[in-house]
Amino acid sequence: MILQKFKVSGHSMEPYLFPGNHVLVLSFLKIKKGDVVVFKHNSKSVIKRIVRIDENEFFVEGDNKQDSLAIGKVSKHDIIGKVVFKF
Amino acid sequence: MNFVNLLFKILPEQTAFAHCDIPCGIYDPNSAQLAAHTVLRMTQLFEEHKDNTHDVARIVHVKEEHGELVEDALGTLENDYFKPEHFEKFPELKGLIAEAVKLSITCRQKVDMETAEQLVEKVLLISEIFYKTKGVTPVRVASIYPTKGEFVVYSA
Repeated sequence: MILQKFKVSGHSMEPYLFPGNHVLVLSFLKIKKGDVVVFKHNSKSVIKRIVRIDENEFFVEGDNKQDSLAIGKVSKHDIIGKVVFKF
Repeated sequence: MNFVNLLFKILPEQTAFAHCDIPCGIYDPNSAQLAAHTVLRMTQLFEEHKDNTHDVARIVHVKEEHGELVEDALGTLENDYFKPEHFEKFPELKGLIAEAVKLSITCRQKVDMETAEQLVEKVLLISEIFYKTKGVTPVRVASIYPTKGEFVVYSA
């Protein structure tokens, strides 16, 4: 789907996103450093911010450093899209 | 209605998890039990202090905070700890969590002893299932709090 709606669960993207916030995600936009993206991880949809891009590898991290410490690597194939609107 | 609102209404809702990245394996229903007992205690105290505006403000604030803690703790268990096989083995689990979250929201919205007591009971039932999934025997003991009632612990 080109456009999808997600409800946020968890605290790792605070203060940008709080639990219960909604986001609209577009799949076809170019991903750049600083974008907030939704991606597939262990069959779940996870939301994080892009902190580094090396060729086709995307490194993600939560905004809330108390809750999200690890920088994870995500392949382009697993990225559902980037957040274009939040409620 | 603008275009974004229209999209918001027609698109199906999915969940995007913004949880911690490191699966630490440290999960425990005690925080939910403590928070649920605190919600119950604040509901009791509200009745005792309802003529004192300052006390009421503080009591409502703590009730609100601990209601959120109940919901967060249950959300962590539901999303990070409980696995599909747990929900399969305990088919009532999903419903219990949903009911507990709903009761917690109601406890935050109003002051009602019966709802607060129901919240504690649902959290105790979820705690019992948690311990069963860990292969230990859940045991209900009398709580040591002013709320009285029970607390679920386990015996190995």
